[in-house]
Amino acid sequence: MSVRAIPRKIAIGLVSLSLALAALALVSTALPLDATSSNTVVANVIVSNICFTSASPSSPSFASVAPPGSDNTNVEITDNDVGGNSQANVYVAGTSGSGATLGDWIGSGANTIPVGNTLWDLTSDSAYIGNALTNSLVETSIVVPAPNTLVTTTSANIFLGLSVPAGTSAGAYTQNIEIENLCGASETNTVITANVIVQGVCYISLSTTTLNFGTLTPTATYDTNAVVTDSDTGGNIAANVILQATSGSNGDWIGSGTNTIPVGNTLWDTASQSSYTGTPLTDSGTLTPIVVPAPNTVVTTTSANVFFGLGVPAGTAGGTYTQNILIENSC
Amino acid sequence: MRIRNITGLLVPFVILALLFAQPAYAQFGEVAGQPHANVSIGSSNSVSFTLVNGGSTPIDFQIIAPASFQSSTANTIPPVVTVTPMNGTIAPGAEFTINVMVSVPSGKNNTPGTQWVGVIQAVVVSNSSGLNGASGANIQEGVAKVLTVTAIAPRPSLLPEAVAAAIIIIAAALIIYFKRFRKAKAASKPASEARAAGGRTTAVRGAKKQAAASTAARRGGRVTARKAAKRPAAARTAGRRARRPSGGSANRSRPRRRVRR
Repeated sequence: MSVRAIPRKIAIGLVSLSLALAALALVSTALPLDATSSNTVVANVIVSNICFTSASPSSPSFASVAPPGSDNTNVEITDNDVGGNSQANVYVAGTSGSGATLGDWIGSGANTIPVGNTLWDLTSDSAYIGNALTNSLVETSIVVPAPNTLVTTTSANIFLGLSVPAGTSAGAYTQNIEIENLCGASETNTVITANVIVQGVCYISLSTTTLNFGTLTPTATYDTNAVVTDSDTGGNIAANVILQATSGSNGDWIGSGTNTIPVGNTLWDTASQSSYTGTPLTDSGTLTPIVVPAPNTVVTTTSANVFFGLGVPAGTAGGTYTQNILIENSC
Repeated sequence: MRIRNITGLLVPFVILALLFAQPAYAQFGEVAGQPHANVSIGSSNSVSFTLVNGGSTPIDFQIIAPASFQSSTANTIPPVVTVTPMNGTIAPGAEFTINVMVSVPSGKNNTPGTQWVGVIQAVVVSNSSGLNGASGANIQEGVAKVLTVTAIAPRPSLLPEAVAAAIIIIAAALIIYFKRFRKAKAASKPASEARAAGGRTTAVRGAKKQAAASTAARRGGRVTARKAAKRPAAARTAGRRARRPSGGSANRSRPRRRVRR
């Protein structure tokens, strides 16, 4: 063994020793002070509280509605928390549309149904009752329970109802409804799209159930100005007016015994006349040019007038005569 | 004082009640859309329409089926319409569906494309007359549907095709049957008759071939003569085959084996 070799070995040994000491120092500083067991590593994790939101169905459908009409508050929406761990409070809001129509039901063109016509409730109702939806999130008293490791999905139901105002245009409408689950500082939300078909409909309401032409002598006439106003309140489609005499076997005026006045002696017209003029009434349904315009949400009642006149034929026996006149709307 | 106080308390309630009370009303209507029935001639089809009560009181109604139809085509036999139900009551806020069954009879002028138009009426039934025995006109209200019926071609019947197919099948069966019958008849002929007929034929053919061979030999063609010389032997073999009671490949192979022995 040479003189040179000894210092090399010593040097190697010193280096190895120093490395070992350094490693030991590193290990000792990495371990916590209380980690007395040299073979145990303690891992820490903080599980945060969270709640999730998923709603089904994602596109609930209301039954088609003829305005003015409503669907009861029984369209069920299930708010699910899949895999969360905290109880959640449910918030709802209408989010479709924008600006003045924010939250509204949106139809074709500029047609809308106000957001507040959607009602929500905790229970299924056999009537249109509940709380009005708004276009900002409102806390409901609905709670989605906290899931756990055994029951990993929990849910709560919310029920929706809808009222379609008078004069709402026919067609398909949709409304986006945001459902938010809030638990502590955590919130998650989902949006469902509700849809409804508003039916086209026309109504009839007459201003009177009788027309009295007074007492007339044979050959006398009653000017065609006895008016009946035909109204449509709340519909959304224009209606054509049909006229028909239905009394007796052929629409005639019926007197005592076999006395009659021919059906055609009743005249009708679209305008008030200062004479006995117009179109003879018949005993079959006659489509007239009279139209009751379609109402809308601004003008919810529209109407049209029908004017009647009567001529008494010469020789008509004295007495009381009656005639049934049927006025119909068709759309 | 007490009476005054009670009255004072009641007045606001009465005013509020009058403000919030809504009068009961009926609102008779119909869902828009005129029914159109496409009906095969000689057949029927159904359509429907819906009545609506938009009011707060029930509505009794009665249906009047079309008494007549109008058509642009002359001398047609009009459709027959059956409406169900013919009357009913619609609850407040409810709808009521009316079904209409339309039948188009067969007729000389009831051709595909013929159209008829008739009015189906739903009339509000009122138990009391507003006239109360006085003269004048009773005004009734109702809604109506203008029913359009279009005749379409009758559905093609499968009967002619079925009859044709049956005829073809029967004809094919008969042909097959008679072919087999002929074969069976031929097979059942007496063996002697077949043998005699077959022998005669083959012998004649052999004689002809022998004559041809001698002719060829006379012409001087050696190869031709050899070929022709073989033919009498073939003719004899054919004669033997013909004399056998029945032919067939198995039987034909037997003479060869005998030759090998």
